[in-house]
Amino acid sequence: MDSRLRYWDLRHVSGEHTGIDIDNGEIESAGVTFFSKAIIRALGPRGWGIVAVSPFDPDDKGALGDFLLQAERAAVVTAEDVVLSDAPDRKLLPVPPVKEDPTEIPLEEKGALLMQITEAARVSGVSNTRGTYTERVEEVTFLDSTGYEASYTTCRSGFSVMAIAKQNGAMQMGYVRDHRIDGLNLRGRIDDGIRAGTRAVALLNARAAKGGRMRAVLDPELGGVFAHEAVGHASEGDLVKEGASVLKDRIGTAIGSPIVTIIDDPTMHAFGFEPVDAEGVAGKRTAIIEDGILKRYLHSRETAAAVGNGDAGHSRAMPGDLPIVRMSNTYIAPGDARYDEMIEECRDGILLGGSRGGQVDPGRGVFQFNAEFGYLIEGGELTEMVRDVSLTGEILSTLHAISLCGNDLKMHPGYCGKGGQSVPVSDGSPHILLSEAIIGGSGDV
Amino acid sequence: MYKEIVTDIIETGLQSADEVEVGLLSSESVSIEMKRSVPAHAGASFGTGLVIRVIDSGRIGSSGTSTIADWRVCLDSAISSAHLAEPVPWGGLPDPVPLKGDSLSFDSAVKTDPDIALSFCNRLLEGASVYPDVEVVGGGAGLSLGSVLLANSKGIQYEEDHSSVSASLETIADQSTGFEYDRSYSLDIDPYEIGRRAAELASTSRNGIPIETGTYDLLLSPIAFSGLVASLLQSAVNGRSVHMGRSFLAEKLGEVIGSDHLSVIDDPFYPGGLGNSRFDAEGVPTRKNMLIEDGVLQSFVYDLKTAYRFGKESTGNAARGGIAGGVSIGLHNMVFSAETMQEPGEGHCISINDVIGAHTANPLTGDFSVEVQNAFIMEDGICQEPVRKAMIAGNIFEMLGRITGMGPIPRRVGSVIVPPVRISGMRLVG
Repeated sequence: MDSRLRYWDLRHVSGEHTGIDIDNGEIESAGVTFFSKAIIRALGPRGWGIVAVSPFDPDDKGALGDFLLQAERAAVVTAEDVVLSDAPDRKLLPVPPVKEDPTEIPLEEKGALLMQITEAARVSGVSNTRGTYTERVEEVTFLDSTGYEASYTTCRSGFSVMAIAKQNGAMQMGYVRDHRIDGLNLRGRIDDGIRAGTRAVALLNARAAKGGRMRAVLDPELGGVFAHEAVGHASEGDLVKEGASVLKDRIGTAIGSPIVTIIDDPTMHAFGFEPVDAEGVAGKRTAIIEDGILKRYLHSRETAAAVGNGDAGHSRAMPGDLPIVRMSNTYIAPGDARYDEMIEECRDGILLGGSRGGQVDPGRGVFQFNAEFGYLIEGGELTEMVRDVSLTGEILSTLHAISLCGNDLKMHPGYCGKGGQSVPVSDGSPHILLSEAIIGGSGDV
Repeated sequence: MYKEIVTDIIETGLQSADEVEVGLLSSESVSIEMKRSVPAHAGASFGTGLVIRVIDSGRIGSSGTSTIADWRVCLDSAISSAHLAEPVPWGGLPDPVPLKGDSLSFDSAVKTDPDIALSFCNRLLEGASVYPDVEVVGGGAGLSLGSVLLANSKGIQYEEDHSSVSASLETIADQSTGFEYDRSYSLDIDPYEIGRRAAELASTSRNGIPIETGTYDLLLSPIAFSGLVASLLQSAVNGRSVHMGRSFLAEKLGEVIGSDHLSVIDDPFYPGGLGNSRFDAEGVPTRKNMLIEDGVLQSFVYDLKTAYRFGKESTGNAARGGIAGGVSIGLHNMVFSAETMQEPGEGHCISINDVIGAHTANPLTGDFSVEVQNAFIMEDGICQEPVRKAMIAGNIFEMLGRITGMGPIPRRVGSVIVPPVRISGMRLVG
């Protein structure tokens, strides 16, 4: 290949996407689409030249050479002096064993299983249900100018079920979802449908939460979102490098209470797992915060070389898109507090559960996320259910407010958006107690 | 070459189904991305896509592929997909009609030329340099061209070209951040002003002061207003959500749902609109749809399937998000208007440029509580002290009734067109 290029790589992803949509008891749509996308990155004398193509034909041997020439020409206008760190560990991590391969189950059967879950959501008071199933098979091939080559296949699949309950003109929804990387998850999941329906009905009688500063207990799902939004993004090496993170220049300093340890682990067999990252580097379990002290950032090869303090292996991309530094499976490490103990210790405050998503401005250091439901805590006991409650905070002060970590770590799958790309991740946490949280809600009392 | 493939697909598909619809998409783009103030990535992209939909005895099936040469696999998949779907009342794909004029969101002056992208990047930086205390975090510029060919077994063969020009800049000053962008189908964006504004936001938001929890008048920028309101209102007027009982507005046709001077139109012909189009994703000619007039809810929007099913007519709002998934219902350009205030920031109010977490609002009921971004205490239209941190809490539908007026100049935020919006009596948690 062209010697004027310092480095190049190619990431080709082809595969199939299967979707089923059940709306109020009828199969609205069910089908398969096909994709083949590639991204070619080439490092000229300074920065990157990029070519993205769809479709990409791996059997067209001349094509890669043409794309590299185009990428080389594109790179001429760049001025950033890009240096890549070494990538010593490039051996594929083993893909989790698949218990029941979704691709071998007929679409009809998957539709019928989803129908059972969706229909189970129709508990008394529920007026509408909806269920979706998605399955995505990706065959990934990566090669680069050093002669390294890797290929692997993953299949991610899962469902969501939603129920809407109505009463006297009021409406509320309940929502349960689960996505996996280790096989079909549609069997024996009727309870999830019931849970979505029951939640929707219960929320009809919940009051809008009143905002203000108070003690709060977060459930494992929301605690995971907290880890992701309040810490994970700000520890991404590209943001640190560009000066867009409040965690810049804070390695070795205490940014949280001594009971806080937050980890990003691409090797964990959860929804954010990748055998190698989008630069062909095997990921490592990375403790971002240990006992309250900021220890490491998440890195690509480029940001590892520029910033240090952490390893490459955290670069991820959607098919046909540019790799960027991302989280994989991010969690707050469990402590030894029991759930009952935390509610009692909270005394008066609020329990927040489930997630409607969140967002962070890592440069300003402010994050926001929303719970699906909450319960007031009064005199050390759960009392009334509340709805539409959110939490905001400042990254550099909120982590100091974690006063208890539970012993009940649980991971939840989801998707994370950054730079216009959405990638599968999982977040997790045990129940955690915050000694002060800024709670948002539209209620008056 | 493509037109021949389209004919082949339709003829082959008709051997197994009553009707066939084919969409062919192609696109190319160039872009330059800056890291801090230095061009770090420069690239090009090329893509094609094929979508096929078949209808057989009211069963609708669809599939898509990025490899047009593999159209037979895609067609087979669409036919299998139809076998699984429940049959629905179906009155047929649309017949061809003459389309007036040329593509509505296309400017032939737009070229995928990296030199234009580079000159835009330089202008972004020049604009930002007006505020020397601000650092550029990143940004960039891009140009893209695309085309859609839509054909069906009734004889439709429509083509529409699209172009897009965009630039954005992200800045920081201490712990105060700024972001600004614009996108157009023409070369009429002003990268210097985008850069200047991004830097101004970061510079002037520094040293924010705390604010008392309480009730305030707000001046929401077009970005903040569209972030909070647009997607929620769009799903509430979606005919499918309405008839399936998933819309807050389902029972409210003809009722007052906003201030008596608020109007919202879905306008596929808006001058400069990014969502302009002469036909929708099913080949139904587009039209203006009055959604809210003088505060009264006027209509919902439909695609063919939902319209046939519930005895309505398609409003030309079928949409497609790409090759994956089927046809959904979407708006073209959502145009908001209300009583014009020469100075929407008059008196005392809190000016809010953006919010963090707009997507976490309750999609069904509209209840939200989000964090403000680049907010200022405003007196008579002039920004005074920046607000360090505050949450706005409320309900989006209720907020429509608290609109007291809008500024004189609308802004395009994607396919939403709205001036700055003055809203009374909103709760801020400081």
